[in-house]
Amino acid sequence: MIVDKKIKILVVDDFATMRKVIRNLLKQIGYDNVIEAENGQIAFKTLQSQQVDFIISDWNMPTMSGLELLKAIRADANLAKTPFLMVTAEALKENVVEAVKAGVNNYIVKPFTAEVLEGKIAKIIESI
Amino acid sequence: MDTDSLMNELDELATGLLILDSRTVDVMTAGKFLNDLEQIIRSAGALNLSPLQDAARELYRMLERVVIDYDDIKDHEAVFSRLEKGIGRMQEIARTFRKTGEIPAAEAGPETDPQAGGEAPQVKAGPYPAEGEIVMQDESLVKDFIVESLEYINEIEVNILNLEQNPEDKDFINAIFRPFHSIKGVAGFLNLEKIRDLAHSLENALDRVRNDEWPVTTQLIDIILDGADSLKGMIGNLKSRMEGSGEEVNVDVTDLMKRLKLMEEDPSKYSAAPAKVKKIGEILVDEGVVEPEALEKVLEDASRKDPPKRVGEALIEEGKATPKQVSQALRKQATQVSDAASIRVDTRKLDDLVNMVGELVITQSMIRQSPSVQSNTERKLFRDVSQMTTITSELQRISMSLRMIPIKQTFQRMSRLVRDLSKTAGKQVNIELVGEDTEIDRNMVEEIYNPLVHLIRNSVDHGIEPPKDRAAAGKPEAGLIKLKAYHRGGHIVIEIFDDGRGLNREKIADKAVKNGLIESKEGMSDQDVYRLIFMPGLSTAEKVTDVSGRGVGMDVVKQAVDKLRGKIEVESVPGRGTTFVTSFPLTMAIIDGMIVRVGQERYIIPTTAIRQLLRPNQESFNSVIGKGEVVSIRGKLLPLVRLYDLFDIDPERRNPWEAIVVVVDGETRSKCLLVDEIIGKEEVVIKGLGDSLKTVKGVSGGAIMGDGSVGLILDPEGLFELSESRSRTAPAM
Repeated sequence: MIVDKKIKILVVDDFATMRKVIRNLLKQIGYDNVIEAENGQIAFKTLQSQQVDFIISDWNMPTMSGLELLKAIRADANLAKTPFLMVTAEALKENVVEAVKAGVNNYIVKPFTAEVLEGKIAKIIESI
Repeated sequence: MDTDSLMNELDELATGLLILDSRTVDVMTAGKFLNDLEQIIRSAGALNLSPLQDAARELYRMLERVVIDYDDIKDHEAVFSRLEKGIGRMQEIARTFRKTGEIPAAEAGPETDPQAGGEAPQVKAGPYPAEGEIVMQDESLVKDFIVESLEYINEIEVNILNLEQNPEDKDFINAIFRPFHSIKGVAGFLNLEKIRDLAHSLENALDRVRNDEWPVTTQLIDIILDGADSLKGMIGNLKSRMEGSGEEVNVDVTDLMKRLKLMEEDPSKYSAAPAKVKKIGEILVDEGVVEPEALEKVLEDASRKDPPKRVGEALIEEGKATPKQVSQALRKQATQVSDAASIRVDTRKLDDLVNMVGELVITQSMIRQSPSVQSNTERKLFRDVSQMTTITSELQRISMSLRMIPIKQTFQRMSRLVRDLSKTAGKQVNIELVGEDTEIDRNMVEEIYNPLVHLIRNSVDHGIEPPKDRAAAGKPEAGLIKLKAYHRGGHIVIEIFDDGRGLNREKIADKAVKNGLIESKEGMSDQDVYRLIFMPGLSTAEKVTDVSGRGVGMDVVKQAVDKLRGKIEVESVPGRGTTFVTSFPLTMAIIDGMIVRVGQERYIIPTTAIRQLLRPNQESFNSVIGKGEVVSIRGKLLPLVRLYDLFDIDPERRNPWEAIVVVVDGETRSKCLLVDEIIGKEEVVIKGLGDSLKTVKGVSGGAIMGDGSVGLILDPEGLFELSESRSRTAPAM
């Protein structure tokens, strides 16, 4: 299956370096169309004003967490179908059930390689 | 709840499984099933169908594990068939129940190994599936990481002190947890194992606090603070390694890990820190709405009533406060933690903005003063120009305020310092912070840090007495250090008070006489004597300690304060304490200057450096052999510096008794500058001279005046050096 590499990906994380890390990884696997937001609230605002094809979001953020963002998106008729990949940490993996029940497409555990990320994105896009 | 709807729910679940493309349950489908199963568990519970409920619970638990270990599952087929079987089994139970009303016996449960307890099949265990494969030592990423992490760690320090005051507040715990979490995350990507491991351990500890497993104790807070320090050290080392400067500190975390382990063994052994949330009454007293006595009385009355009244209510009833004041206080209490929405902006952008606005102000003033505008009689133009003036000055005010930040963070760092220092010194010191919200230019914050640290060190080390001495003097054993900040006329004033022993007049005076600073202490006021501590070569500390004994005296503090165009004063009452009052300009971007003219040129002298302006009489001017020209001012001979000589321009007047002499202070000495005329005082925006002129001595910058012309800002110390080097090469005329 060939995945469209031109899709617009929104990376949400409060730590700027982390956003850069993910951006670099995405670049390595050919995704260049990347925008950023530093928390759920800003991300949600961004989604109101522009078309985003894929969301990669951190879980623990101030103001609005990744889970809250996910729930807001799933509750919004226009955005509900947007693929959502949650970034989580090994220690907090037990929490993912909550996100899964809230309708996350998949999650990825930090730290991850470009290959793992590529696989996750491809699989999600394949399934929708 | 009836059996039919339960049957429907089960059928839906079965259909969900059937429509899957492959015999693989992906994460999203698992999520949907989990929600469905939850509903089935509820429905079965309502019908008392416990075998069905158990079966649903088991599937739920299995799916939970599937979700959690998703990346490690090799055999998706097995998951699928277990789901298939489980759903079939549940349907069977429900059908039997609907037909016969009988609940099948529990032992005929689904064919799963009870030992497995819902374990997902064939899970490959192991942490970090991708460990070792990550190679991404991008230099710029590491640099970003260093900057951002250090910033975050500073935040941790502030928030942990807040947590100590409000141990119940989950927001603070989260605010501390998050930076460790983020640092750990990125460190994992960058292969910085030590940093990752330490951040991870600290994160774990905080996670337990967050889950109410561990209490917030002073031990825990110490661990977190020390951990933050170690992290800072490690990141600092990383920075040194990247810069190749080789300055590395030894960071040993074995002790820290040991303490964490002790916590793990018995977290409850440590007593919880006292909770301290400001009460409504306290807030109202702080705001000056209610008198403390009145509050006490109301509190007493309220507690006697049955049921006890709330303080706010009682205060309103008594007419001591208006409902509005109480609700404001309540809001204040609630928002003690919540911070205003904000964005992060590169300070360079702000500097550029402030610069450009400065230019705008000047251009605007040039337009206003231009003859063609001045002579214009059109009223509309006149109105528009004054409107523009209003807007630009407002714009300037706002752009300046963008760089202003509350002094809170600096104060919190200070209180941290007091904690650490008092521990080392074996003293008990409480710290009180007043006016933390007072704002100051971002660039100034860094600058004032070192002088303040030194003053605090001094107060802890020399001011506050050891507990024994305090008790003997009838004072509480714990000393008090109070930091107070407020604005006063374009300056921020920071007072550092300690309730210690006070300055020793005799000791200072004797030392000053011994070191030749003064001839005799006779006739000197206490103030004058105390001021001597700012002179070079005077330190009365008898014992060199870890704290203050670094060969740095108050004179260095004074110099640092002077350099920032600030002021420092000291007040002291023997046995009662000492207060250092420092004041700094709110910003380094604007200077309060005296504009002087020499020939056709105009110069700006910082007013803080000016001691006196005068026209000397002929007799007070002398030329001393070997010393050059001097002016006698109040019995003191001060060297004369002819500005026109230094800058090689033609003056209007050459005789000091016809011109004006400005007495200015350098770092250690004062001299007289000869100028033609004083034009006035003005606040000017400082402009750098650019890199090529950076090394020019005697001039610290330039400024554009209201009429558009350029004036140079003089640097007294540089001028003195310049004049001294000239007089060595060429004799004074």
